[in-house]
Amino acid sequence: MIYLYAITPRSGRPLPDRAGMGDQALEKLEIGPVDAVISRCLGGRFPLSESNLWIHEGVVESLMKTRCTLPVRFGTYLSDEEALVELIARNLDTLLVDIVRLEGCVELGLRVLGASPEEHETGELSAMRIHESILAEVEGSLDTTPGAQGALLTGIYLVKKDRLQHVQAHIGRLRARFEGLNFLCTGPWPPYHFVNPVINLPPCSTHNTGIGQHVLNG
Amino acid sequence: MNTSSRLAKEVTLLDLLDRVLDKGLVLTRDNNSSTPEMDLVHGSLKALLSSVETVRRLQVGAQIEETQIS
Repeated sequence: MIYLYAITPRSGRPLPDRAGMGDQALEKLEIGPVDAVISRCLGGRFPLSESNLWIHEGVVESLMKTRCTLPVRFGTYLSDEEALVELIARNLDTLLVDIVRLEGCVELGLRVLGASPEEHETGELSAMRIHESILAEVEGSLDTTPGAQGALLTGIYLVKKDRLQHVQAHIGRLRARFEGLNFLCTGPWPPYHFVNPVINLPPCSTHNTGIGQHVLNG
Repeated sequence: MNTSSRLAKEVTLLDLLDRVLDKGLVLTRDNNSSTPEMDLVHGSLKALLSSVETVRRLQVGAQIEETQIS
């Protein structure tokens, strides 16, 4: 069984010098115009734990530093390399569109919290202005406001790497301008929210045990 | 750890969970399918959300430092 971290465009660059899940080595499988970054699972699935979540994230972030990286959701296992080849072949067009669309991009998360419940209405107006101001500086956004988890604004922004410092500075200026509000900014993250989310399994595959034996046609 | 840095750490973890477990490329035959891992994660996520909300209520007025993931 293999564990999949990410899909990247084919690259001659070496993989990050770090271990993956279960202290297993990272490997790159070259599949047509893309690379799949994996680890071997010798002792079954890796347990769901905070440390393993950070390992997965660390691998994806390391890749992101040197190449366009389509992050794969934690806990993605395939039975073998043939299954992976089949999977990528079935979804190659979608993957290539995402690679072009997300080249050089990262995402930032921003929560804006009100200072006091009494000022919530004013805060919502401010949050709208904050969001619109950031929109002018970024490539795209997902706005889950208002009120997600009690926040005035929960924004997720797609940012070009070469504009990252500029956008972060812009958020810093907004924080100074709206000093009554609390800003929580996280990132840069791999563009988890902006990849086309679903890669379909082959029809005869099984869900919980990985993909069965499939050979790429042609 | 003061309240502000604790909140920033929790929000960072919350954002990690949101991304790594709920976003990104996913292998599925059924968009509504759920695995045991996801069920467990949803439970953890609810606990975290409650925790973050509690801290938020306590920290009114605190200035939160930007959290940089690296």
